[in-house]
Amino acid sequence: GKDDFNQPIFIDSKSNFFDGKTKTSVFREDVSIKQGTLDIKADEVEVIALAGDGKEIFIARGKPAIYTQKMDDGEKITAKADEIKYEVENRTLTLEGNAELSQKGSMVKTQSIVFNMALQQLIAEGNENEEGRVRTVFQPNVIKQDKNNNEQKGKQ
Amino acid sequence: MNRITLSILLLFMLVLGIYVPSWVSDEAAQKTPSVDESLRPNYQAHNMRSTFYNAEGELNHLVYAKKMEHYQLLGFTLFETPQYTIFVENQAEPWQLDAEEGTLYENEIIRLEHEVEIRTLSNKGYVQTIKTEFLEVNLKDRTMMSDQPVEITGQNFVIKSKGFTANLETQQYELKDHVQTVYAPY
Repeated sequence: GKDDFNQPIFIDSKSNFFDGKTKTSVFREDVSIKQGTLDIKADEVEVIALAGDGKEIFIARGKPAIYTQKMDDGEKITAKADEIKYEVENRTLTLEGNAELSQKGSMVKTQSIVFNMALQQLIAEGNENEEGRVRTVFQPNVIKQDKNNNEQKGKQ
Repeated sequence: MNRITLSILLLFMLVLGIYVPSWVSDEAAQKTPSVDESLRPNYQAHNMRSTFYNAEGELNHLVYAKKMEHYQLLGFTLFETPQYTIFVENQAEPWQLDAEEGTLYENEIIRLEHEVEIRTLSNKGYVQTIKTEFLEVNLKDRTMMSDQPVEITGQNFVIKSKGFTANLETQQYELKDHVQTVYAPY
């Protein structure tokens, strides 16, 4: 949930190679990132801390890299991609390559997805190459529910 | 082999027979004292402070130690609570290394043991402190390594690992047996 973002970020991995001058680290082999309910599993994670504290960028690569997080309403969001970039400061997730994002029974499959984690909203999706269309698969019962949510959101 | 050569040979053997044992025993007598000598420090100092410059005359490192004993024959120097200050090229602030004990080999490799702590004296450095129980530092190429658990802290992170290698100059660190890194929330 939202409180996740006030938690420390724990990274476990077999090895870690980092450079104090460029302030970048590379974690390899069974890498896991945990921050509250946020959990990313990958083969390799690059951390760029050049912008300073709290502005780190985590780039997780895997076959695929897998992200899961529980939302305040208890719903679980999961995402998969060849590369998952997590920007701590603006709480944005960028999925690149065979990207897949599932939340509330709906699932988007495309080349790349940008997702705002705090608002749980999809910001952008797209395909450079035209063949792979953006496919959104909705389970029927979800559509009605989404409508009410949107109306409530509208009123707030 | 007429009688004369035979008698000379005999005489020679006789002479050898008498002197050889005494030569050997002399040598043995000489060796035992030198072994004791190497166990006694050649010189020792208290509250020692020394400064080392490199070939270009730039400050290389400083050493302070509560007590120091130099063993010429064994080729090392023992320190009690040594503190090394290492100046690194194009880094404004030096690194400071403290430990309970230190052993310096041929003025190049220093092994620090028990409560070893490395600190950068610049608060802007990405790595601020490194703590471990054992550390070996090469004063020439500024590389260092440990095979003991190590804790590296920076402004907003703490890294735990079993052993590491690092280069103070390039600021590159390699943790082959990394345990966990924690980034503090901002």
